[in-house]
Formats: sequence, structure tokens, C-alpha cells
Amino acid sequence: MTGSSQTTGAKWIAAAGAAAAIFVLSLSIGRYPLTPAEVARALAQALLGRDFGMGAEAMAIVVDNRLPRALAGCLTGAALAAAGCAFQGLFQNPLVSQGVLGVSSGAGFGAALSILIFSGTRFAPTFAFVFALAAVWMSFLVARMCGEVTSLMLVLGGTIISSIFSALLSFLKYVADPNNELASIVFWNMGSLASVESTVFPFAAAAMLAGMGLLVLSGWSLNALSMGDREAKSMGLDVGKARLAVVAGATLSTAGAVSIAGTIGWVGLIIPHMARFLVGSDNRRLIPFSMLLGAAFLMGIDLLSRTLTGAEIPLGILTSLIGGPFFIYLLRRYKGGGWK
Amino acid sequence: MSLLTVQNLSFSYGTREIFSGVSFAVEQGQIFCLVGPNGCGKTTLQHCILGHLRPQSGSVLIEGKPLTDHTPRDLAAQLAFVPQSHSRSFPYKTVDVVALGRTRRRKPLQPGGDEREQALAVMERLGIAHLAETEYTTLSGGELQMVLLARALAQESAMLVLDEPAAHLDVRRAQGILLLLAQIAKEQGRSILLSTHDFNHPLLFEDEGADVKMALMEGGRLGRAGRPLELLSSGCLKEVYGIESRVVTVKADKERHYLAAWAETDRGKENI
Repeated sequence: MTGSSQTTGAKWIAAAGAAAAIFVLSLSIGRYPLTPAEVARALAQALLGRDFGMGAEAMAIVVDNRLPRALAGCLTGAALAAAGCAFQGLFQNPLVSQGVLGVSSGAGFGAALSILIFSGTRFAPTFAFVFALAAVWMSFLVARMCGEVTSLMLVLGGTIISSIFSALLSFLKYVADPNNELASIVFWNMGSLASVESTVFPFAAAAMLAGMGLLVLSGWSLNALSMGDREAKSMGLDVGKARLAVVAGATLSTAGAVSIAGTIGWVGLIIPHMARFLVGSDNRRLIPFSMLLGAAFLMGIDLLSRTLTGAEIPLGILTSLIGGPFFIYLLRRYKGGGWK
Repeated sequence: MSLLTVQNLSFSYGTREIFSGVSFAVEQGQIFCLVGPNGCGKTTLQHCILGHLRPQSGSVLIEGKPLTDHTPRDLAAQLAFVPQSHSRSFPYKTVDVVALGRTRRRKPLQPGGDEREQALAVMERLGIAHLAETEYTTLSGGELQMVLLARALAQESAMLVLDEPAAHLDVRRAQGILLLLAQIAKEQGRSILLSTHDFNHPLLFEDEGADVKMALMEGGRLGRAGRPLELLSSGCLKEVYGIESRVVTVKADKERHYLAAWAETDRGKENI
């Protein structure tokens, strides 16, 4: 027992350390390289308001340019990973990810619609957020139409609504002007942290933090819900309310994330599995740990996306290209980790 | 007042009737066995009693109060459920699965808690503490059954509802779990509602000195409830199933009763 809790503690420290290290690296590395010490001085100068000898140029790069992007990556990664854990537990299915109730396809459609209406991406985050929430709400309606809302009906409703929004997105792509609108839509849907707007970011961050808070507190309910609706009910859980809290938390997290970063797949699917190998399946530990891993992973991916080549590589491409092989390594290392 | 009273209960899936006109009562500290072949509606009846399915007519009273008037938390204080089959989704530590029995004592969204220790104490009592840190997806069917029973016991409810608790177990484990149930009813005064297709289970409970009743379920009807020895000796199996039977007494560690059954009539032969 003692031995296992010691190694578990070490894993938490390692994950938190990795996230912190990647955060600092994200502020240091780039076309204008800074040492971690310079980054620390710039941050202190901005926070404390005293002069630590950093010039205006370095301050602009660290505080105005790299810091918001690193924070956005950190929050987005954590939010997508937490939502992935929540949906996997809720639907007792390790293969679902944050998009299962239509959040991602709703957001994708909303962003595309705003790009067509306003000929630009200015309102894409707002539209993405609104349509992400609308898609989940519609999934609920579909589930309710067929009688009592069960997890199975909910996932069926989500599948239907997702496919409708995907079809609508395809239609918008088809009618979009191929010279610039289509490119914007396609690029937005590949995911990027390059254009996080300071006007939108606080709202998205608030949604993600509220959602993640709800999910962290729903750990026990998720353990119970993952035993199936009937068993959870007979243990004394108010299944309807508990499920609503989980869906609300996961939806706010994901909608906040996709509204600023576009649709980034894979993180919500794979990070919960990696975390499960490392700290086990108890959602009370799994969700916070997944958030740490997700934050570290997405900040790292974003760092690579802007430094590997002269042009930015969309995040969605890198998350899969790097996450896939890493997941294979973990599967080998943990021999399936208790999966039958 | 009876702990559980079922009055004239009927349930259908669409137009397909599963059972109708079912009435019985379970007293505190009593083991009530619903005995019948697979597919006779025992499991559906249990799910109606647990509030998982809504019956078309009739009522389920728990401590005299209709089932639908209980909140999930109140209901969990009265009834704990051990399902016959359980689909394992994630590799939780076994102790964490048992700890879920404490759900009814937690506030919604409550962080932390000392449920692990309480779960371990129940696992000690059942002799499965060595499985605590094992991933429960790797357990055998018999071990899982014990874990689900431990989870239900951790719930500390007035009644345990078990669906075919010994169906997938070998003789030794089946015997172990049945003796344990008899002991729980006798020593802790908990009621048990149990479904089984084996006539020897109620006889075993009676031999162990528990307060036992049984009723036969067949074709969507529940027969008269009675003491197992008396009921099974009365020739009711011939009426209900058309098979010949006799209760035999064996002198083992003490006097034990078993049912010997054979088919003699034409109807019996057809069924076999």
C-alpha cells in the first residue's frame, strides 16, 4: 500500500513537473529565443510591476504573445482531457471522446457558418460555442423523445445530431468560396492556437474552468454511473441529476476549448487512457491527473506546431501523429493495463 | 408492517405480458425465495421492486410507503441490489467498486471521503480483502459475485435483493455464498429477496435455521408463499410444473433436505 501510494505520488509530481517545464519552454522557445531565466524575469516584471531589466520587445513577446497562447494550450488540453474522461465514464465506453454528444461537430458547423456570414473568423469562437451547446441540447431532446433519458438513448441522440451537423458542415464547405472561405473553414477545423483573441479568451477560459470544476467534483458520481444506470440508482445516486452535472461540465469544458482552438481530436480520447495506465480508473484521481497530462500534452504539441517548420502545422494533425505512436508505446509498456 | 409488500403487480413489455397479479410480502429478517425456471419473470419482478421498471398496475410498498415516494437515497437505505450479470467497463481497483456501496451516504459533488476503509472492513468480513488492490476486470465470475455482494453489504440497507446469486458458481462457492446469506439474515436481521431456479436453495436456508419463505413462479404467475419444506412436500411441483418430486432427508453434519425430482407424466416428458 505504502509503496504504491509513493509511486502514485511520484507520478503526480512527474506530471505536474512536465506540465510546468513545457509551460516555461513554451515561453522561451521561438523565433526570438529567451532563456528560462529571462522568461522568469519578464513574468516577474509583468506581475510585480518592478523593473527586472527586460526590454519592451522581450516583454511583448513573453507577456502578449507567448503567455496567452501557452495558457490557452494549457486550459484547452486540460478541458478536452477532462471531458473525455467524463464521457467515457458516463457511457461506460472507453472508445468515446469529447465529441460524442455532438459538441465538436456543432462547433465546427457554427464556426463555418460565421465564416460564411461575416467573411472572416472574427465571430467563429462565439458561433462555435453557441452551436456546441445547441448540439448537446438537441442530443438530449432526441434522447427524451424516445421516453426516459438513459445513457444509451443519449449516445444515440448524440450520434444522430453529430452526423446531421457534419452533413451541414459539408454543405457549407460545398457552397463556400474555394479561394478563401473554404480554406478558413478547413483550417479552423484542424485546430490551432495561433489566433486566440484576447477579447474571447476570458469567456472561454471561464467556461472551461467552470466545466472542469464540475467534473472534478463529479468523480464519485462518474464511478457510480459507469456501473450502469440501474446499479447506480440502486446505490442511491440520483442518476438524472448526476448525469446532468457530468454532461454540463463536459459540455462547458469542450465548448470553451473548441471555441478558441477549433476541433482538436484525439486528446479527449487518448489522454484519459494514458492517465488510466498511470493512476488507475478511479475518476476522483483520473480526472485531475488527465487534466495535468492533457495540459502538458497540448502545450507540447502547440510548441512543436509552431517550431517544427517555418509555417504552423495544425494541431489536429500533430496530436494524432505524435499521440498515436506514444499510445502504442504505453499499451506495450502496461500490457493493456487491466483491459480484457 | 412488512418491510416489503407487493400487491397485485403486473408488468408487460408492450403487449407481451411478463407477469400479472403478483402479491407477496417480506418481513424483517426474512429470506424470501422467488423460485422458477429461467425466463419466468423473476428478474423483471425484481427490477419493478427496485424501481428500475415501471409496472403497468399494482403497487410496491416499502415500509408501507409507495416505492415512487422514496428518493433514490431513501430507497438505497432500504434495498441493495446484487445483479446476476454485470458488465465491467473500466479496470477499477476492487476496493473502489465495493466502496461505491457507500454512495447513499455521500452528498452530491462531495470530494474525498473515508469509503475505502469501510469497504475494506466489509471485504475482510467476506474473506476477500486480498482482492482489494486487484483490478476488478481480472476477477473470476465467482470472485465478482462476492465483490458485488460486498458492495451491497457496504450499502447497509434493510434488504438485499439478489438475482440468481449462485447461478455461475461452482458447488463450493455457491454453498459458501448461500451459507453467508443465511447468516446475514439470522445475525444481522436483514431481509433478503432472492431469485433462484434451484429448489434446494430455499431448503438449505431452512436447514440453516433462517426464517424462510418461498413461492413458485411460472408462466407469469406467482404461487402461494410458504415454508420450503412444507411447500415442496405438498406436491405443488406436480400442479405447477407437472413433475414428480419428493423431499429427501440426508443425515450429514446435521439433517439436511434435498429435492429429488423426476418426470413421470406425459406433460413432464414433453417439457424435458
